[in-house]
Amino acid sequence: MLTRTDQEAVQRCLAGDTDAFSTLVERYGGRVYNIALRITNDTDAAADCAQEAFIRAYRALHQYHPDLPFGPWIYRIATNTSLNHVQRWHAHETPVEEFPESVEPDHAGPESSALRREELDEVLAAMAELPAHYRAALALRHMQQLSYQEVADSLGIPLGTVKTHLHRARAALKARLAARRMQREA
Amino acid sequence: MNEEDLDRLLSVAPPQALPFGFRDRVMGRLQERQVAWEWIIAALFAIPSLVFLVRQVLVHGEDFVQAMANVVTAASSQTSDAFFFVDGLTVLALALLGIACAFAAHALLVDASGTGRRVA
Repeated sequence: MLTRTDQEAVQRCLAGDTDAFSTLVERYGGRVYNIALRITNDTDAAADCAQEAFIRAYRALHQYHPDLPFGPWIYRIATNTSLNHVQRWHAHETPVEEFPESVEPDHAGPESSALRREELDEVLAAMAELPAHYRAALALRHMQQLSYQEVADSLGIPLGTVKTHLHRARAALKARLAARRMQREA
Repeated sequence: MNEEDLDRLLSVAPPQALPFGFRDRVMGRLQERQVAWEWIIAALFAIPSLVFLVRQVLVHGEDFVQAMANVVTAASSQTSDAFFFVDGLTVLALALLGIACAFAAHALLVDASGTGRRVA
């Protein structure tokens, strides 16, 4: 398949070539799905939200500004779709506890790796208990490694608000982790 | 746990694999939407035209039969005179029906090619 830039793919879509959109789905599908997964905490809902995000993006392609990167634009749509889903179906939220084997290179030895894995599972479980907008901010900043400005663009909120959300989210996460540890030790 | 620790930990969290066939489902839904839009246009053109044509046949059926008989008679007797009358609204209804058929045919073709690509 011919490798196209995001902007070329968008131009082709706007010219009526629907198939060009598959390049963008392939390129951003994984990240969009993982953002949706962290916000919804449900694999089926995440797949639905990710699909819906791409459908909405396709319909709104004429609003996309080609000078801006495509990633934050589609992340913003995915985040909004997922947050809307959570607002509608928050009663059905279930924490995601299962993860595939880590793809992280194992430099620290099996024991250290297992400890780290345990710690990661603990943090992800605590993160799943946070409010959806905190989960969204944490997922975009720390899991997708976006800059503060990109997180702000993706969430459609001011930079200062992003910093406040992330500060509060980390504080809430810390409190949850402490509570979980105390619960386990008791 | 400070920001750096959290960042270091979460940045290596393994991403969940995209569900199998995700891209094909998205592309399938895009094609469906296109086809749905074309079917709606086809229906908007076809239904009023068909209703009108059926009404014409019911009300002016004898005129149609007479017109056809005139055409057949003229053809069999090798004369060039065949009297029949078609009003403008009937012509318009037939034209709209033709446009509706074109939309429907395109929707069918897009649907068939989309299905073929998804299967392949």
